[in-house]
Amino acid sequence: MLFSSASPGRGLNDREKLESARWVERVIKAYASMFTSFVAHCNRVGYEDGLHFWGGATVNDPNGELLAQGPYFEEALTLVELDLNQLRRTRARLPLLRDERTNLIQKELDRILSKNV
Amino acid sequence: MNVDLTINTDVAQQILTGFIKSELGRMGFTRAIINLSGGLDSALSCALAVQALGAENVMALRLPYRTSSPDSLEHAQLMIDQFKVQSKTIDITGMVDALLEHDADMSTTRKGNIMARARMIVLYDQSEVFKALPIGTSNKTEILLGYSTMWGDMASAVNPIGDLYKTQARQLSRAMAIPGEIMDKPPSADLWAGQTDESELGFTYEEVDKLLYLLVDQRYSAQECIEEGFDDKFVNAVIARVRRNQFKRMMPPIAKVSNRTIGYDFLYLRDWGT
Repeated sequence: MLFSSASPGRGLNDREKLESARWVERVIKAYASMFTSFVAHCNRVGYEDGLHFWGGATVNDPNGELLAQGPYFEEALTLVELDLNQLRRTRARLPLLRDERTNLIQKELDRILSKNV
Repeated sequence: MNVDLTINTDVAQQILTGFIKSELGRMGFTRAIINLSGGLDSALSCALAVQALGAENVMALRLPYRTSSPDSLEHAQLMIDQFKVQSKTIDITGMVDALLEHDADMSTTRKGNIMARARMIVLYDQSEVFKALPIGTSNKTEILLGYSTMWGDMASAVNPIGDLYKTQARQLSRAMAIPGEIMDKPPSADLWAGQTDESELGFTYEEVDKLLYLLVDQRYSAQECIEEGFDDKFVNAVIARVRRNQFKRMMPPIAKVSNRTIGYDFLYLRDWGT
C-alpha cells in the first residue's frame, strides 16, 4: 500500500514528535497490521507560508513493525528492501484477509447506505 | 487543573529556524532586521534569526525614547554582545516629541501607540538600508489578547514566535541561552515608567496561557473551562477580550463590488509563485 501525503506539522508539545506525526504513524501501523500488508508512507518537507511539512517517510511490514524511516523535516532518499515472503508468513499466522467475508461487508454497506439516503 | 504547556525546544528550534530561512529566501532575502526592545520576545526572535541565518545577516536595532528605562538599552546590548549581531541605535525622541507637542493632554495609550509606530517606521526604513526583512516579535498570548499596537510592534514581514504562548516563549528562550537579566525581569512594553504587562492586563501570563490553551488550542467551551477550575469572571473577560481584538488580527475588510475581490475570491498564499 502506498500512501503519499502533504501533512502539515501541528501539535508541538513536550514530546520528540509532533502530534500530527504521531497520529499518522499510529494509523499507518494500524493499516499495515490490519491488512497484513507493507505500507510505505511518503510525506512532503519544507514550508508554505507559515505551514511546515514534517517528512519522516516510513515503511511498515505486514506485522505493523517499522522497517525504515526517513528523517523528519529534511529531504531524503530512504531505501529499504522488502522481503515479500513476509506476506505469506504473516498471513498464515494471522489470516485476517482470508477470513474476511467480503460479501457480508458489501451487503451491510449497501444496507447502511440505502437506509440513510 | 492539569494544563501542561511544555514544548520540546529542539523541535521548536528546528521548525522556527527553518521557517525563517525558507520564508526569507522565497522573498529573495538572506538578511533579517529586528527591533531589540531589551525584552524576552524580541531577544528570542533575534536568537532564532541568528541560528537560521548567521549572526552576520542579522541587524538589531535599539530605539530608545527619552523616558525608556536604561535597563532596556543595556539588556538589548547584552543580546548584541552575546549573539554577535550587527547593531544600530537610533533615538526616537525627536520624531515622537514632534507629534506629542501638538497635544498637551495626550493619554498614555496614545503616547504608547505613537512610540510603537515610530519604532515601526525606523524598523522598515532600516530594513531598506540593510536589505533585510523585519522579523516579528509578537507572541501568541499578546496577539490573542490584542495587547499590542496595530501597525506598531505588530508590524513585521514574518513572525517566528506568534504561535508560542508567552510561557512557551520563556521556555524556548531559556533553551537558547537568552541572558538571565532578560529572562528574569517582569515583561514590560516600557512605554512609560513602571509599566508591566501583568499589572496592566490584570492577570499573570502563567494563568492566562493555560486558559487560552484550553479555549483556543483544545477548543474548550467557556463552561468547560469553568468546570476545569477557572474563575467564571476571568474566563468571560478573556473570551470578550480575544473577540474584541479580532480586528487586530485581520487585514481591513474590502467592500465587495466586483466579480473577484481581494480577500474573498482572489486568494493565494503569500508564497504564491515562489
